Amino acid sequence: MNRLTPLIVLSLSIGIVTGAASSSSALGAPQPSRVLVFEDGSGLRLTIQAEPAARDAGAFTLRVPGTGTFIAVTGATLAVESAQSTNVSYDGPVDLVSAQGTSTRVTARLQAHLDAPHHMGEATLTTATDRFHLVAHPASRAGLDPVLRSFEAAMPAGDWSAIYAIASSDFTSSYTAEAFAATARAQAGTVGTVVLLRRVQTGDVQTSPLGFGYVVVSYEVRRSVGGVISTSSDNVYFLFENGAWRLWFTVTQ
Amino acid sequence: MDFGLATISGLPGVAAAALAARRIVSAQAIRRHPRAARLVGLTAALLIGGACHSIDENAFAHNPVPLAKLAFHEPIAFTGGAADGQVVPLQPGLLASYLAGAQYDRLDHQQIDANVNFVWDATGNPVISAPDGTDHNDGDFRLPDSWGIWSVVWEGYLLAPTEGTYVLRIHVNNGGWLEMKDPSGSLTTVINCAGGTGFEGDCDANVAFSAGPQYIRFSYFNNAPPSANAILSWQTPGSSSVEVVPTNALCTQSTASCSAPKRAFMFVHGINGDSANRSIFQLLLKPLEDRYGEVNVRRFPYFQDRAFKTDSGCLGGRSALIPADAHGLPINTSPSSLASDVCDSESNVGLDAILLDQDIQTLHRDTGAPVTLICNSMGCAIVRAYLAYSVAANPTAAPVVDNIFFLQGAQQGSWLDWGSTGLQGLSDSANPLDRLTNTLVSENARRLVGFDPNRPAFEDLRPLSPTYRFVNPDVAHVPDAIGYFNVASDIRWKIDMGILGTRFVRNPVESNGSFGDYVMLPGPEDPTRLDVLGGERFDASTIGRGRDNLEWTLRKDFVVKIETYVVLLPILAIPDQDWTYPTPPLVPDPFALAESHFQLGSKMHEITTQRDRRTGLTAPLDELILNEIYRQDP
Repeated sequence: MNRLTPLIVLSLSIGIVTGAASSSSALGAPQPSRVLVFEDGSGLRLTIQAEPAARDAGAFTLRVPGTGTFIAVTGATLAVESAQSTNVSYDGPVDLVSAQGTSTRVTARLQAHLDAPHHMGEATLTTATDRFHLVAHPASRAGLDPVLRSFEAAMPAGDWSAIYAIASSDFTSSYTAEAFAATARAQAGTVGTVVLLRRVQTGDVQTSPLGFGYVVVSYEVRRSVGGVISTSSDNVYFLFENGAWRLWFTVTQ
Repeated sequence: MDFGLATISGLPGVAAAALAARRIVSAQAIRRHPRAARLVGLTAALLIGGACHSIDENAFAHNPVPLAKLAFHEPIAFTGGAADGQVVPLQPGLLASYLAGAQYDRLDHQQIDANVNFVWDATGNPVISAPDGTDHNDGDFRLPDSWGIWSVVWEGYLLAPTEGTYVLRIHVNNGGWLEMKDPSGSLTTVINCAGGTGFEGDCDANVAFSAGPQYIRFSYFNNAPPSANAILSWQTPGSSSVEVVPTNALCTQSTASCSAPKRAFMFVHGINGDSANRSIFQLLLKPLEDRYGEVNVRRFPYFQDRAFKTDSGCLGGRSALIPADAHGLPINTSPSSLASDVCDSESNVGLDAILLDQDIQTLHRDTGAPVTLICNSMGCAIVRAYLAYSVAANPTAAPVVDNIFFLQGAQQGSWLDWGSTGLQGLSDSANPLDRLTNTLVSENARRLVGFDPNRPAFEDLRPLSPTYRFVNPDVAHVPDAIGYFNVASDIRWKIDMGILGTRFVRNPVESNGSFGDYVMLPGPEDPTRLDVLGGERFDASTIGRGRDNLEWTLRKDFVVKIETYVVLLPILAIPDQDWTYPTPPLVPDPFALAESHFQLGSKMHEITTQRDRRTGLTAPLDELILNEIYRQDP
C-alpha cells in the first residue's frame, strides 16, 4: 500500500533547562503564566497558576495518591507579599476526580504559602471529611557526587552497564540493561568513544516550575571517531528522581 | 409562583344543579354567558323538574385527572399508541388527551389543539369514538337518544410574555380544573371548577408568575347535553380584558419561543458508544429533543450495533442491513471482524457511510426537514465518508444536510486530553510514560501545534474548513489554527535521548507515542487515484482504539513534521523547529466536492470537546454548540 507519511513525528531531544517564568510561545502575544508544581515525598502534588495576571490566576489542582485530584472550580486568591512569599487562599467548590475518572463536587478550603524562587511550598486542603497537608522542599544535593563519579568513570571506560545503573527511568523503562548496552555499542562506529571526560563546573540544584529537581554539570568531552580526536563541551543533566540522583540526558553546547 | 384564590362555583350532582345555577348568577367572579345561562337553565329545569332520568352513576369527575391515569413528566410525551413515550414535538398549542367518560375512563386519542376554545354540540358524540363514552335517555323523550360523555386533559405551557399577576379563567360545562406546578415542581390545583351536570360558568384565579413558559394542565369533563364548553382565557398584566389564550401563547414544550423551525438531527457517535454516555452529548441532545422534538433527533447505530443488536451501552438494536449496492464504489461491504462483546470497538467506515446515507434519507423523508449532522470522533470519520459517498451515490439528489457539527476531542485519558486540560493530571502516574517526559512532550507539542490553553472557551467553537488543516504553513499564522490539533489524533512523537552523542529512543518497542484519539478520516490515500473514497482506505477494515496509526493516513492539507528541537523548561521557547509542507495533491478533492454538493460552506463546524481547562467539565461547550445550532435556525 502506497502511503503518504501519515504521522507527525515529534522527535524530541530533551535538553537544557531555564527558569523563564512567562510564556513566549510561537502563538504570538505571550500570555502571562507561572504554573508551579509542588510535590512532597508522599506523592501529594499541588499544581497552581501562581501568576496573578494570568487569566486563570489561582487555578489549582491537588493530587492526593489513593484519593484523586481536587480541581478548583474557580481560582484561588493570590496575595503576593514579595517575590518569595505568596499566600493562597480558597474556600469553595472543587471537583474531586478519581483515578477512574469519576467526578464529585465537594467544598474545600485551601491555605498555602509559596516561595516560588526557592520552590518551597506548604499547603493544606481541608474538606468536610479530610485534611491533606503538603510540605514541599527543593531537592537536596545529597547523593549527587557518587553518581557523578560513576558517570565520569563509566563513560571513558565504555561501561554502558554502569551507565544504565545510574540512568533515569526514561532509559530503564525503555531498555533492558543488555539492550541499552547493545544500542550504545551499535553506534560506536559513528559516534565514537569518549576518551576523556573533564568536569568543568557543577551547577546548583535547581527546581523546575514543574517541581522536579535537577543539576547541570558541564564537561569537556574528548572523543575518538575513527582515530580522529575531537573536543566538545557538553552539559549533562542529572535528575532527582524517586529520591535519588539519576543521569537524565546530555546536550552538546 | 403565587397562587391566588380561585373562585369557584358549581356543586356536583343533580341535586345541586339549581343551586349552582343561582350561585353562578350571583357570584361576582363567575361570568355567565347569556347563551350559557339559557342552557344551564334548560338543563336544570329538565333535570330537576323532570327528574325522570339521571346521568349514569358516578359520571362526574371530582378532581383533575389522576397522575396514575395521565402521568406528569417533562418534556411532555405522548401516552399510549404508536407514539407512546415519544416527546411531543415542539409546536404551538397544547397536547390534548381525549378520554371517554367523565372520569377519564379510557384514553381515546391524543392530538395537538391550537388552544382551548371549544363549544361543542353535546347532543351527540362529537369527539369520542364509539361505543363507550355515551349515555342514553332511557326513554326520556326530552333528552337526545344518546350523547357523549367525555373528558379532556390539555397540557402544555403558557408562554407568559411578562412577569406579573395574571387572571386565569376556565369556562366549563360541565366541570374543570387548572393545575400548575408549585415551587417544588409538583402539580397543584389553581382553579377548582368542579361544576356539575347543570353547570356552565367561569372560574378564575389570580396567579403571579415570571415571564416564560408556565406548565398548565387543564382537566375537563362533559357529561350532559345539550352543549359542552371548554375555554381557557387569561388577562395579562396591564390588560383590561380577559381573552382566550391565543395559540401563540401556548406551547407543547417548555421554551421561551414556540416558533422554532422544524429541523432534524442525526447524531453519529464515536466508537464504543461511549460518546453517547458522556455528559456533553446528553447535555447537547436533550435540549435538541426538547426544542425540535424527540422524533427529529435520531442516533445512528453502527453496523456492528445493528448486526448484534447491542442495545446496552450503544445505540443499536436494529437489524443488520448490509447495503446491497455500493454504487460501484470501491467499498467492500462485507462486515469487518466483529466482536459481539465489544460495542463498536471495530467497524467499517465505508459500510457505515452507506448506512448513514440511508438513515439520513429516511430521516429527511420522515420529517420533511433538513438534516443537521452531529458527529463525534470516529463518528465524524463516518460522516466524512458519507459526504464523499453521497456525492458519488446520489449526484443529482437534492442535498438534505444543512449543517454538520464535527465534535472532535481528545480521547479521555489520552495524552492529548492531558495536554489539553492543562493543569489537570498532566503528571498522573497512571500515564504510560513517566510524568516528566510526558509533561515536557505534551507541553511542547501543544504549543508547537497551536493549542493555546489561554484562549477563551468560545474560541473552541469556530467554523473551520470542512477539511482538516492541522497546522498553518505559515508559522506566523499558527494562532489562526487554534484547535486544529485538538481535532486530530495522529500526532505522534519519537523521543530521542542522548548521552554524549549516543542516541537512545525512548520506548523503543513502542517507539512512537500516540498523542490522542484515533480519528480516521477518509481521503485520497494515494493522490494519484481518483477513487472518491480513497481506494483501499475503504476496503473492509477494522478501526479500533489501539490500532497503530501507521495503518491509516489522515487526510490533511499539510503534512507537518516536527523535527528535532530542544526542550527548554519550562517549555516555553522553541528554538529549533522544522516544518515541512508537501504540496497538496492536485486531484479532485472529495470533500471539496461534497462541500460544493451540499452547499454547506461555512456550515461545517469543527468543534473541540476537550474539557474546560479549569473546571474539567464540558458543560460550557454544549451551550456554545447549541447556540450555534439555534443560530442556524432558518
